[in-house]
Amino acid sequence: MKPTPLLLQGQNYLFRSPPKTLDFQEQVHRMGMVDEGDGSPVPCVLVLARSADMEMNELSIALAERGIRMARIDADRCVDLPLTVYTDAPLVELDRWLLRPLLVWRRHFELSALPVEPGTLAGAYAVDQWGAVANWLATRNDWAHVNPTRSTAHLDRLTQLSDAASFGLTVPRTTVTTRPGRTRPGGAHCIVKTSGRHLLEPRPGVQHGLFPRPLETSRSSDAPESAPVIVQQYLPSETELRVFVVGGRCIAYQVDKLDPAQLWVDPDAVRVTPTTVPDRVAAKLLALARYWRVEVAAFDLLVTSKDHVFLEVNVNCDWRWFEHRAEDTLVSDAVHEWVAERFKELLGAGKGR
Amino acid sequence: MSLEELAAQLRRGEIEDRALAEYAAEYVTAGKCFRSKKDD
Repeated sequence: MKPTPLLLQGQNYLFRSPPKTLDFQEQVHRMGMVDEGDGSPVPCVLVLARSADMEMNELSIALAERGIRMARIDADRCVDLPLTVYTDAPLVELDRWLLRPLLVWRRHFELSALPVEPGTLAGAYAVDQWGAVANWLATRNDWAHVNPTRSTAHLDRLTQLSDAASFGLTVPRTTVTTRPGRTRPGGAHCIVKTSGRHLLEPRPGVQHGLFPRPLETSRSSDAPESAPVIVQQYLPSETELRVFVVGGRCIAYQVDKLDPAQLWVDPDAVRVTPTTVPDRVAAKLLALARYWRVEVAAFDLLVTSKDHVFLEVNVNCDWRWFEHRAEDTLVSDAVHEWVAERFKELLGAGKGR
Repeated sequence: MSLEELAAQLRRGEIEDRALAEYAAEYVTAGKCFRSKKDD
């Protein structure tokens, strides 16, 4: 019998995300509570996400407060969605609304969330069609994009590390291997982490966590893993930072935890406090964000006695988790303001006509 | 009603429409539930 892959061993984090409408604007429009206008296309922000993306649910309310229409296509609710996308005009007919997206943001629109029967032709068909169309929507040249997929689609964890190093940031020594038992980059103590996503969704709506974990020093098995993992040098650190970059601005939190998995398995034990990053570090992060063409992203850094060490950047980042623990709304406020300003800029440039 | 007015009602917790009040209650519950969800 094949052993369980290393990163799946002892991972008990499981989250159920039901496909429930939580988007404020969708709700009030469906209920016919909003003045409908004269039937002309309504300029909007178009978000491709999933129902439980609470960052986008909050954005919907924040944009409503500013009178900006936001429309939503969620991966877990898109099957049977009434949708027509015009190719000769930048317009979308979503349900009974004719919309003109000015700004498109794709995040957490994972095909694994589509509620289809696995292993069936009809299921594979729906997933393939939605995958192709979502990719196109997220790259259309006649719309502006937040974190454009064209730039971020290939921003995997290994590319991130080499890019960060080329911008002068320290990175841990790293190997990608199916033989973690034989690999110790930088010394005996190492961390194993996923080279892919932090959450796996083998069935729609059921998400399993894949957390970084210490590589047991006693592990010396030569049996190859079913898939390559990242084995990374363990660096003793004073603390960790999560730095959100929002439209050219850095918002940082200090994250104190006992082990890497605590973020997921024991979040109440994690201490999150607002902090600042030295100017020279912030300048490098902002330069990297510009290079990757990301406007909203989260950097994870280790603070060692000598340096700030780049661990990874997350483009589909969650900020409410950190805000809740820090008891502030700094990132939400910055994101809402940035999106609203960008929308107004595009509207003012005549993109809404 | 305008989007701005409806959003302001939601923020103030003064929703008059029953269906929207139900949505608001569900939203608060979901917010609490997803507080522990750590993604990226």
